[in-house]
Amino acid sequence: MRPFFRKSAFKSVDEQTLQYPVSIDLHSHLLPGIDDGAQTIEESITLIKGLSSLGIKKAITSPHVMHDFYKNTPDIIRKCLSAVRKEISKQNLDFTIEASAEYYLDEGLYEMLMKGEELLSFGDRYLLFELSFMNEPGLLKDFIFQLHLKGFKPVLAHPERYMFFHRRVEKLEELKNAGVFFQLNLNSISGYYSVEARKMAEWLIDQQMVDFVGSDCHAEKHLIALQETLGRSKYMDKLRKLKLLNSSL
Amino acid sequence: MLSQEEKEWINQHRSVGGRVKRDFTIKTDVSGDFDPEKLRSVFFKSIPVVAVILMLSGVAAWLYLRYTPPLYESSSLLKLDVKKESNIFGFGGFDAYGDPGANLAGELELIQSNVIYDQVIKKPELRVSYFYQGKILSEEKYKSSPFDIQITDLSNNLFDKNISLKLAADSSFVLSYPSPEGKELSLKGKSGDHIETQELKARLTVTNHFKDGQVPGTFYFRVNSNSALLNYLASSLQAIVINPNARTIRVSFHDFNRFKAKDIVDAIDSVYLLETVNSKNLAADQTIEFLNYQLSITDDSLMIAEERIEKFIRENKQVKSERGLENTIDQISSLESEKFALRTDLQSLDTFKKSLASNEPGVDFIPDISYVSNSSLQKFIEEYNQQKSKYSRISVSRKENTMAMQNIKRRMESLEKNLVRLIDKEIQSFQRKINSIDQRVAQYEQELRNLPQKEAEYTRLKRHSDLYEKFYLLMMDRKAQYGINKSGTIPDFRVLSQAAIPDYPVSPRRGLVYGGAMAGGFALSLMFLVISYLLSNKITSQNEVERLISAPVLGSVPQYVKGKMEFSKLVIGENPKSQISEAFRSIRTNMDFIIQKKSGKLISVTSTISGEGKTFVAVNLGGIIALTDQKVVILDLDLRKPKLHLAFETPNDSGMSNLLIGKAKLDSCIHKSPIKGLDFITAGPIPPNPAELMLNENFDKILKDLSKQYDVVIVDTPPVGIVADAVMLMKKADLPIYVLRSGFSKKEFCKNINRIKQTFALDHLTVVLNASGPIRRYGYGNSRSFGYGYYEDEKKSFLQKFFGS
Repeated sequence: MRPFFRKSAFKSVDEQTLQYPVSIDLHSHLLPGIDDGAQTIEESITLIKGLSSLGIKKAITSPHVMHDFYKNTPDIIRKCLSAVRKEISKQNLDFTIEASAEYYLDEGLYEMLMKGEELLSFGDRYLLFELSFMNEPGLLKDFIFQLHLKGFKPVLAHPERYMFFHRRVEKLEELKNAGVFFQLNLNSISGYYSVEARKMAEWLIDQQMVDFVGSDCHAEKHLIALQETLGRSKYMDKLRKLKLLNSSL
Repeated sequence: MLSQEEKEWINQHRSVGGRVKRDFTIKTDVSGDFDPEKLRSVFFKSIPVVAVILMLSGVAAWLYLRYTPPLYESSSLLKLDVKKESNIFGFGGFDAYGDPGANLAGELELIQSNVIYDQVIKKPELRVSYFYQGKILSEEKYKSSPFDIQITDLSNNLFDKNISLKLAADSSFVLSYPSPEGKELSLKGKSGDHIETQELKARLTVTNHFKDGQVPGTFYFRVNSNSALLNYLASSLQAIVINPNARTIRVSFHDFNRFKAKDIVDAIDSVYLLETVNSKNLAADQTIEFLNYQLSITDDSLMIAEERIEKFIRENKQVKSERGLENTIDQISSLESEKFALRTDLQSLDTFKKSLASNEPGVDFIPDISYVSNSSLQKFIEEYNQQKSKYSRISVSRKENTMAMQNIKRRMESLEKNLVRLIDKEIQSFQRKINSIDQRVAQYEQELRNLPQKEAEYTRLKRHSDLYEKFYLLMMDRKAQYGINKSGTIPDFRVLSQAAIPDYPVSPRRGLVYGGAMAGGFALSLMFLVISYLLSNKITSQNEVERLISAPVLGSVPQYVKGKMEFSKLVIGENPKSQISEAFRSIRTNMDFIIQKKSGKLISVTSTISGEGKTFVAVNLGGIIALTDQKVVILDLDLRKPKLHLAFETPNDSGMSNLLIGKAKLDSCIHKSPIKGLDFITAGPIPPNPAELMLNENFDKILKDLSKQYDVVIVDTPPVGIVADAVMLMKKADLPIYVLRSGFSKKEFCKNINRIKQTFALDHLTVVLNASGPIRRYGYGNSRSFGYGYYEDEKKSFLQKFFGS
């Protein structure tokens, strides 16, 4: 419990601590029916309202693009985005939504990059990509190099969750040195994914290696988890002190 | 096609029936460097065993405590006094010389000797022991037995035997004991009855511990023989010196009954006290006895002397003596009295010397020789007496030839020698004194002779009488002194703390037993862990595989946990976001990175022995590739033990064997799988000569045709450790994949893989680790499951994870 006088001195301190550390979220699966996130437009709106209640004004949502299962093209994503936007304005919500994608690194993505196909980036040509959770992809370094050559700024989604980085932080440092931006999942701080993910998240925060934060919101359960996560004062406070690039978007 | 070297290898490994010898038998590599990953896996696997070990040791401790009767200890603290006894006794304080603890040892011996025990076992309550017969343990009912038995006669063979007694609520009883012939004899009776048999005459009564209406149950009693009691006391009694400087001794007794333990310590203390007083009085008694003897002699002499005087006076009516005469007589009389005393002493010295010289072991204490002028003789006598007392005490409980006895004996012998020498001197000096007295008496008598005869006669008589009287009084005085001293004898120890009834048993100690059991359990667990770590020759982690194999590792596949998998099957389609799909997807990506060829890729999947999961890898890898819109076909070439048809749940009517002998058309053998773009050909009927079929030119033709129709051809080969055919397929393949299974494949397999890679120049050989548990997720216990769809992992409770459900 906080002392009474503080509450009166700083209005709604408690409310403030439960606020999202940034007003712009960049990793979520809000577009309906194109990946394992929201399945219907109603679900999309529920999630948007939930994020909005946490203090998020703008979301750059990132549907999965996966060579085998989620063969989402920029066109599919854009079409879906405009439908969601229409619904937002219909419901008169104060929420901005944009879309990029969360690219799964496999041979398909590599091929797309090499062929020069359109890849959805955000902000200053940031490209959000994820890796296999189990096995380290052999073409990771080459891919990063190629991204840089094409003028993209690689953003690795939730680096704290990959099993092959656990207890091998030198690999993350290597990536950092190779010019990769790191996007942390907020829920990792509360150990929502695993104990290891939490430890890695804490390490990343301590090392000030976090560039972006994201909700990775797929469904309502992530919103519920987020509420708990935001109450975790220690690392949330540390995180708030970091210079996060979310606000530049 | 194959080089000479390769053919040789195949020939070497091919025996009758095309099977190769397994040359990778047990070569356990324990020298390998420490592998924390492996330790972790061994640790988690050992958790159930460790839990069982700890539980068992806990149960063992509990059982031990439950079925071990508690042993109680009662103790008292005695302090021996340091003060030296008065020298009026023939022997002084024990600690005249030497270290203060020296005599404590002697006291300990005394306390633990039969001298004491003989007195203690006379206590009536020790004679008969009563026990209550419990289900497992029996409990002694010391002073609380519900019945009492007064034995008047008991045959020898019933001593120390348990005589059982069933006591009923109405105080009737059934008594049974083994007869001398070994038969069980039973007697019925009621409280107060006299029992009379050949072996036993007794009367049994219930005590006030017997409660009416309550069924007391089965008891037994034992009549203890003296020897059994002595053994019992000797085995449970302990006397130790607590502090030699403070001269404190602790007397303790162990027994299962705490009241009995206390009583026995008390009894020992009191018997010891009595014994100390008695042994002290012994010397005084002997002195008094000697004095009495001397007194009786003196008394006789005195009487004779007085009679003579009386007679003389009667005959001569009156005697008057001159003053000078009186004086002379007095002088002579006192000299004579002195001489008499000297004579008596001389006599006693002489007697003592003789008894010493005779070297009898039973020499008594040397009586009072306080008149002895020689102080060193005095000292020797003191010590001699002291040794003597020690000797007599110890000789009760020790054998003649023990070290302690021998030491004392030697000491006594040398003392005796010295004593004899000193006594001789003393006798000489006595003799000289007597001589000088004789001379002086002769002088006085000369003077007397000058007196008238009658007067002289009276004086002579008077002198004798006076002499005896003086001596008699002296003796009486001494005797009285000894009497006073004896009655004032106090023990030279004090009881600092009385024996108490112990509240807690000395053994077993609960904490100690449980602690010990836990420590033992942990030690055993640790041993088990170390041994299983050292003995574990299985591959457990990707790190290990990377270290042991020179070929690149494409990736790991987690264990399939959603239900039991009887046969390898296609699980990719079940859940596109599952851990397994995820793993195969990354393997596909890594594979693609290695193979440069864009179409008509040939992938072979093999393993060392069957059961490592090659079919599982082949099927699911095919599935995940097909999902990227490529056409994939899987061929089952494990013609000896086909499995592919089981994976796809199709009949194995016709397949590769039919195709290889040219008896079927390719298209008719191709089956469609549930996944679009994934086809397969089963093995077909098992042929007698699979190795030859594989060398058949039809095979190359089939592969060629298939590579035209499909982007990727995957062959499921026989295990390479058993059959050499696989090596040829691996040579042909663009990407030979070797499957190892975590926790199943042995480390030696890795050597085999390295050798095959080198021998056949399989540069593209890659490895997939199957069933690798989520060992890295140590934070979550030893669950070998990842759960499903980790993108959207359902939160699982620890227990669910633990049991892999």
